[in-house]
Amino acid sequence: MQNGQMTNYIMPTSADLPPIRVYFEELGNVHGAFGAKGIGELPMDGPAPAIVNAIADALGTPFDSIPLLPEDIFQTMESCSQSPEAPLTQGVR
Amino acid sequence: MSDPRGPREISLTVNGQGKTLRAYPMERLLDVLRQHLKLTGSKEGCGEGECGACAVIVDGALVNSCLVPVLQVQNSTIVTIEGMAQSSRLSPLQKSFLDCGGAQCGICTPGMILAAHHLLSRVPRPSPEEIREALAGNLCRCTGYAQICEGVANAANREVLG
Repeated sequence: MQNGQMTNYIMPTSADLPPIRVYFEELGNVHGAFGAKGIGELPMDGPAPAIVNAIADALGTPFDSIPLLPEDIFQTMESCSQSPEAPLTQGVR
Repeated sequence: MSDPRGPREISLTVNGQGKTLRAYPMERLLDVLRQHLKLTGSKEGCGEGECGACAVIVDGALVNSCLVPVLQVQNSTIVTIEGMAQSSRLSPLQKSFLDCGGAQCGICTPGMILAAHHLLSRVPRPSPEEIREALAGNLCRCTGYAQICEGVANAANREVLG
């Protein structure tokens, strides 16, 4: 990720922000509930769980936290191979 | 001789109360406040001194407590957000934030209030520009800052009037 820290993910501060005027859009979005349309906050929730689930699916070993580091995968696989009775699940939710 | 990196006794005054605790010298002041002293009002936003959510006042200076090794505040006087209200009574500044709607998710609010308090203690009647400048070290990604700045301005007028 290019801007993984707040240092270079340049968020506007109170000193940067221009005056904001709010306009009401009276013709609603036909696809949104009650004509509502979300703007500004693009969902970033999907990719990380999808990647973790793909790894879990490939290895048959569940993971429940991000970031998922190579060390975490190694440690989990080690502990699974030491106790073969431990249940291996088909991915995580 | 004991290990210089090992835990040691740290004495400080927090919100008017003397405290003595054992901590590693390089523990972050933020962690000592939150974990040792259970003062969880100070928040960790970024942990790298960019967002101001962990701001506290150390010997009269506004600092990001995520960047301060606890040994540096040996014998210092610290004010956190818990020190703003008098028991259950909010400070005029806190009341003003509430009245103006100067909070949404609330993570930046403790730092915002301490930064505003620090400003008002130096400049009792700040201009809108001075308010924006003083809060520029505190990031808020909910509000767009307008109501927060309004809250500070409102508190400044109120303190002058009464």
